[in-house]
Amino acid sequence: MHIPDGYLSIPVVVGCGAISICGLFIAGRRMRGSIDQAQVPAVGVIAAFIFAAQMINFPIAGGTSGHVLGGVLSAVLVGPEAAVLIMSIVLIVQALLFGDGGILSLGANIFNMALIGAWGGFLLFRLFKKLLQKDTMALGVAAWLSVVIPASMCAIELSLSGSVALSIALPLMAGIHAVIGIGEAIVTIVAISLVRRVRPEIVLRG
Amino acid sequence: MSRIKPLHALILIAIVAALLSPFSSQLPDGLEWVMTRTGIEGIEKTLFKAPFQDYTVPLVTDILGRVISALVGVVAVAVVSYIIARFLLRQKRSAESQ
Repeated sequence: MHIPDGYLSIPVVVGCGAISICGLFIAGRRMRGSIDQAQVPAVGVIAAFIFAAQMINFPIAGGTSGHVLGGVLSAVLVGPEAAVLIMSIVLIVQALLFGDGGILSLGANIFNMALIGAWGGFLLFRLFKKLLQKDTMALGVAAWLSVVIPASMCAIELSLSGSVALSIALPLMAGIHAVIGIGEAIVTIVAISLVRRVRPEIVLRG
Repeated sequence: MSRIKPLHALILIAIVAALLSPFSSQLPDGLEWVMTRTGIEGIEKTLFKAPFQDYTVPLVTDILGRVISALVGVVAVAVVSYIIARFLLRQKRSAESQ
């Protein structure tokens, strides 16, 4: 759901850009206070994994494809602030090197997938962990929502820009990403169980 | 399994990404599908041409372009995020030592 250039109006570009810059600033400041030695290489490795995962599209029903976003996955491993940084770097590299997502729409894409997807998804994971008392279930639900909510935000931004009516875009975006989100939930659960097997000492954040 | 070192993990990710990238589905993604269905895909503007636009590399086939793109992208995001994380760690240490 990387929004290309041309779809967003100037107010939406500026608004989302301002929110994203503030979000990145807060994430950076909090990371500066909490980062430890072991986190530094982990951030690099997880960023590489997220880029790779986002490049591999899997076909889904109806002639469409989807890919993993990895917001919740990275947030439970290195914390939500580092996950915001990772997701944002991935989005910036995708836009600048590969033309995947627009330049002016970077603010909106960072807002949707890094701030809402990774940070928001992490908060949802923490909430569901308390409610459900089960890590795996909480991971799956949070990962699914971390795709469906950003997709809905994307529809809202497109309609605020006057590109498409919300009554049409929202059900389509939420609907197709409700299917893609199942892939996100499965990959997140499987990846975390693999990480736990390789590094049994790891403690999920949240 | 023994502990995997970060550099080994990075190399493993790069190899797997390179091997899987030719099989990445080229069908429209969720957003592209919605844009086509609602007939708004025409308003897209390309503000600048990225060096590896749509994960292609000039002068090579699309498949090879995707493999190179996977390697370039994996290394680029790993290096940039590692440098920023290290910078934040240094800032934290210099703040603590004051």
